[in-house]
Amino acid sequence: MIVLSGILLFSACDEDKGGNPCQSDFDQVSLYANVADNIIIPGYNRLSSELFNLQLANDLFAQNPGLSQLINLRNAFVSAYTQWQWVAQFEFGPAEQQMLRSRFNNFPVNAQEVEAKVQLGDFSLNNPDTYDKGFPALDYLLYGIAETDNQILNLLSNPGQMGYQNYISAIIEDMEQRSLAVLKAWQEEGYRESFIENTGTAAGASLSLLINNLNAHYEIIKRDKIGIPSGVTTLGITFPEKVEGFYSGLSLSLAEEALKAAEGLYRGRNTQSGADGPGLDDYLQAVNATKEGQNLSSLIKNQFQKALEALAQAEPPLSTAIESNNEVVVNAYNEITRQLVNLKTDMPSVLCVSITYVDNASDSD
Amino acid sequence: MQQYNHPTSWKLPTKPVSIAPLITFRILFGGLMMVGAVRFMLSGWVERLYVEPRFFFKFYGFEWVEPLGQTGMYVLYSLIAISAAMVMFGLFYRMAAVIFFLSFTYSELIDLTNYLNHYYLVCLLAFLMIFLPAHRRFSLDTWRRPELSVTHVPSWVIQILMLQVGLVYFFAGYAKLNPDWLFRAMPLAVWLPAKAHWPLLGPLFEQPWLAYAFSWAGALYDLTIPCWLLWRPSRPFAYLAVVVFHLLTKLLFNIGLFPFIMIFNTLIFFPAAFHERLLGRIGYRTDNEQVLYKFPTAGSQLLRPALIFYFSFQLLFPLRYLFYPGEVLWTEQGYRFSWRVMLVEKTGQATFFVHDPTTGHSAEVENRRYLTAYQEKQMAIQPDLILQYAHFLEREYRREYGLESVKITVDCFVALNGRASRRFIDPEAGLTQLKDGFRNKGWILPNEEMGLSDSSRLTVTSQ
Repeated sequence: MIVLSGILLFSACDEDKGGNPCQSDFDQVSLYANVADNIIIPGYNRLSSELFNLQLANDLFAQNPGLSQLINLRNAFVSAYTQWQWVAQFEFGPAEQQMLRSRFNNFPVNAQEVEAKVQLGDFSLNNPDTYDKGFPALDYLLYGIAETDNQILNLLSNPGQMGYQNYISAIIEDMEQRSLAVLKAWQEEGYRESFIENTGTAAGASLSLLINNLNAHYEIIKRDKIGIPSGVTTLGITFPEKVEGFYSGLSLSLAEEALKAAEGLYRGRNTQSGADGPGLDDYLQAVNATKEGQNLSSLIKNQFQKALEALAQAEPPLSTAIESNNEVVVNAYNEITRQLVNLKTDMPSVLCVSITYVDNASDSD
Repeated sequence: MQQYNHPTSWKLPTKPVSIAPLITFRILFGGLMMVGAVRFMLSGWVERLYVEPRFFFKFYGFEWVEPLGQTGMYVLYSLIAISAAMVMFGLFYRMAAVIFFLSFTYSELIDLTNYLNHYYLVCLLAFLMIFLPAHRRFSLDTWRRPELSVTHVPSWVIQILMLQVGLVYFFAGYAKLNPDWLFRAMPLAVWLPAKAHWPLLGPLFEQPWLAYAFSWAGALYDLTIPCWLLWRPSRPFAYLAVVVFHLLTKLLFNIGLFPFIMIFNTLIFFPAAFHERLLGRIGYRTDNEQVLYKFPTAGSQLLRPALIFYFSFQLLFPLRYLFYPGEVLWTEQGYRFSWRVMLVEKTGQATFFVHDPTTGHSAEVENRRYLTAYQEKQMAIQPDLILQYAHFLEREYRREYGLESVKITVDCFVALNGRASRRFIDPEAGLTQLKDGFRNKGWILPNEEMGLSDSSRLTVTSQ
């Protein structure tokens, strides 16, 4: 009764008010289609082929262990690890099911744990809470098990000790299968379609999946890749050995790639052509989002630039930069951090994404 | 109700009325609370809310309340469930009512981040129930001791419950008279489209006008429903509205037992005959001979001033926000215990920094080391919790790192009702130097975007 009278009362005058800040004509489907077809699916496609190459290189090395085969194997590793950074932010749906993030990139690696597994011949890769598998384990196995390349080569090719070899093969095979499973789910099993059709602002809708996972990814860049190693949480005590890809020295470029991937998702940038498509930036534009008088869409765009520039100031490898010139790293950390509130608090708020936790601890009122 | 304005000449309305409405109230309240406590235990909330957290946010003045450990908390919740059942059956009623009030209130005082208005309402009703003769008919106590049985109570016994429930509605409606609710349909404009996947009604929830319709209807409902319930011709329709309104909120939002509390409570507005018929179905018998409940003379002396004090508090405490500058939805000064329900979609990010003056080093705090996700979310939007947490961090860093004097600051940003975020707390403020209290917290930064706040305050004071 009262509800009805309210409807009658207001249906007359809502036209000119236009005050509902959650209204917009933005075409969500075009955003999701662009992200799925030009970012996510090509991303897993490329990851799968990089992992396939990695497996080939590993087979070649196994058949004929030599320094050039080791370098070949390491190069394939670098390409695959780099490509991982571009899909790490899509840990929902098929990737979440496969637990890609914890299987592929729990870092810093626990070297003792890896050694123990090699010694025991225990190649189980199922525990999401251990730091003994995925790229970080390969990073250790291909670069860190001994001082020099020749010593590493000797250990890896020792016919009496096949543990290293076998563990490397097991890890690569597991990752390849999982990457393919995710790709297949997107391409053939209809996840792409359900993702594109999952419009709206509810928790669990594609918009909320993208924003939440972009943020989870971004926080990993901030905290795990840069923050913890550079000692921002520990009163100046640094942990250079906790960087991602410590043994290969890849850390800085991996962080850069991850940051570029976040920016690419935000801008809806086609990963193959580099052309800008419908992205979160366009969505923010469509709702005329402002933050303290400034255009939020460009504010975020600019902050990505600043963060990337600040990160580029550091000299690779990151672990050395932390030891020799940590101010530059901390500065990059601060620029990266400045963006977090834009992505994590502002974007969901102005796009009216319901942030209510699905898994609420209790009632609310 | 006119005489409420003249407390000196005012006497408690003592007209004898049937005890039946109070009996219904006792049974439904006790029963619901028992179900609530059992549900709480079965949902695993004891662990999640009282065992898992490392740190518990205290209520001002109740810093001594501590969690009781897993076993202790289960004992406490069992006590709540058992005493609620005893209230329902009217068994050793006074003792049960006291135990229920104390145990329930204790559990709610353990961690402020769990504060909910409807838990506060339960505490208040439980408190009032202690003093009401709700066991004096159709109870195990009167079965044990038939001489306790009465048929009538002074009318104020029923009326104070009406007044309490009416105040909740009124203030809930009053709080909705803010520009965000009325002119931006916030936060319903965020919450309703989240239900767009519902069958049949789903597409409706995406209609922009619906959020306005619900906002205005909701405000109108809360402000006026006590009147419609009091007025006999409109009462059946009003109660239908109560049921529809609360069931709708139950379906739309995650608000637990609150809808049932209100659906049950509002029955108190119905006349005795209704309750006698209702209770008659489960064996309640009316007597021809009228036996009036008499309050003990010693207690009745105190009754009037106690009730005046209680309801003055209920009337004035929700208005304390008027003494603070800025918009209450933003600053949250005077927000709690004021029936501000469902008014904000608010998220924040609070990053704390611990500065060590001796070395010049500083550290960013990882909140998740100390707080659950839910606690962190609540803390980041409430200034007093931010302050409490900073004091906890000071102790923690002293204990863990041996830092004797640290400065703690916070980078805190809050987004409210569909706006972009703004800085919430003065980033220079040394939080450990500050004390919590009722004085204005000058270190909360103002939010000019909340606009209209001045004009809305004017309408408030002119009412």
